[in-house]
Amino acid sequence: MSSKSPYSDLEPHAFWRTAVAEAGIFGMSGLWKSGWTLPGDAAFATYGSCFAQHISRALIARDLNWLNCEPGPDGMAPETARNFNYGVFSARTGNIYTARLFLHWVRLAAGYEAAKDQEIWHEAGDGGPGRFRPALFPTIEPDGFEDADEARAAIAGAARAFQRSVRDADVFIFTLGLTEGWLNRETMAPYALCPGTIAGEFDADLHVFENAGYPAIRADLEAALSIMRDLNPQLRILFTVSPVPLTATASGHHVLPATTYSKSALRAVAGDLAAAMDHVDYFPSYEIIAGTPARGAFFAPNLRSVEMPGVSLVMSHFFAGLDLRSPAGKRKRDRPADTGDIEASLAQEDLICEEESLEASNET
Amino acid sequence: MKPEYHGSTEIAETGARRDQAPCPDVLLVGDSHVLALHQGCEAHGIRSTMLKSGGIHWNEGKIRVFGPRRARSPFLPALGPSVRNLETQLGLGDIFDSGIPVIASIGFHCGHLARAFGAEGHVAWPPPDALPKENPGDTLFASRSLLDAFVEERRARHFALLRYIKGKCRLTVILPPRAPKNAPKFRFRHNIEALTACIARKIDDMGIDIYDPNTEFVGPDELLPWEWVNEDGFHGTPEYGARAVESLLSRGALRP
Repeated sequence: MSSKSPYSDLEPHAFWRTAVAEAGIFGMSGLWKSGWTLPGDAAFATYGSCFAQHISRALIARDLNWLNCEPGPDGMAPETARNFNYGVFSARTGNIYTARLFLHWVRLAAGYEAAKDQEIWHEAGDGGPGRFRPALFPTIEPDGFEDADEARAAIAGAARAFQRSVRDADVFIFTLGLTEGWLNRETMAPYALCPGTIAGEFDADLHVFENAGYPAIRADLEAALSIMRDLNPQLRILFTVSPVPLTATASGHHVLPATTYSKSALRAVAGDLAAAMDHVDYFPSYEIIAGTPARGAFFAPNLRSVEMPGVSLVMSHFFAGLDLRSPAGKRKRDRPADTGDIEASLAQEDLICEEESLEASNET
Repeated sequence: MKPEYHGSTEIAETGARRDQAPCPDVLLVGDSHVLALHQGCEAHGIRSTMLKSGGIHWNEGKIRVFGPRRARSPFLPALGPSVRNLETQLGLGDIFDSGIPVIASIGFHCGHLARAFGAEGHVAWPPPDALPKENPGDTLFASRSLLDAFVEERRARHFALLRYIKGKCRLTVILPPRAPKNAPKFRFRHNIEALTACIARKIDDMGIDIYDPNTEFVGPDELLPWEWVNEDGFHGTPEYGARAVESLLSRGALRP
């Protein structure tokens, strides 16, 4: 009989004392190491809950190849662009909190759902025609849309951009947020928000609450991954779980255990999918912020919002674990085909105007 | 009827030279499109002074208006010397205190604006017929609200200048010629039209008189014929200008 056990030869990072207690929150290392060797210009697509926005920003700040498949107009002020939700995620989907909503967007992008079939909410105006808000992303524009056609065009545009991001990405990063959501009882289509909270009107006969369990979450994510890999067989998917607690729960339970349930179920599914599929991985955002080593230090006084030091720590572990050693392929984004012609025409017009200005100076 | 000048104190303080060239009947302020109006005024025997600079300068947006009580002409890019000359001629610190009516081609010069707006593939909604709504490829449809926000952002200073002028004298804003240049670039032209219409709507909402010679001459969606457009394909001919001025006269735009 040997005195050795399976634990005898484990690395220090396998032990809580050395890896966590003695290291401290800022001393931990090796939390995540990506199993993929990516090119230096690997393309990243990002979507998910509000926490996912931090990932988008961090990729941009590091000058990595973050895919923006639905940018705002050139030269628009950053604040205005953000008001219209440009530059937040790789397509203008707004926050996607649940696996069910994620699958719905994937199906829209792949053509299994149609923009024309999506629910549009009408907000009555003061004597006017009112405004129209897509139930999929009711606050995607500050004041909604002028008519239902315009609203559906926005849905279709976001779906096309989502598809492009799936096709063009090397790594698709999705931040899971919630298990709780609301559905249309007739179509079973998910809503981004409970109707009647920020937009729309709640109808107890039409709107049904769902708190997805592990089986449903896994089924939705597997279905989404299958469709995405059909669009891009080389696509890798990186899941993470948002550490931001629930604002409110409709489960009937206290919001603290409701939050723990949500995050636990999402974490379990994400981890199991990563274990089962080589093209899926999990990054521990949730553990870094909400785990005991952080002692809640990274939450704002409201104990929900994550402060920037926490975001920075999360992203430092992310970038430390990325492997971008493969040679870059020097990708370039295409501009509209007539860009050159337009530039030439404007240059000619400017020259004419300049010459006339000089002549006008002579006259005065 | 020639405008009268008030504030003899102002004239005395600035050393007015009222024995200089006759004062203009109208001020033409704006981009290169005012040249056709100037030629049109000449044809009608109307004295006009141009304060003109290319659209590329107007697009910079470096416009500054001062409080109305400061009696100081707004700062306009590339027009400093012209404005100073006119101030001296009129004997005023603020040329818009003269009461001379103003015809302005300000806020449009939409080529660069449309280029920026469409640089990432945006097309203003609703799209032109030539572009399929259902399968437009990589086109990004831009909502009317987005277009509005874009215009508000890029033309804020122009609008401030127009409001300033309106507060001081009779102002009519004239839309640029809907010229046939770039007609085949239908997305670009569509965006130009959408931006122009948005700008015109906002100017109208400010209570400023706005005149569209294109709709009057050829209809709401038609391009001007080449015989009214210079060889450059952008600017109106003297004949176009004369007809526009005739219309402006009949609208009372040149009355102080």
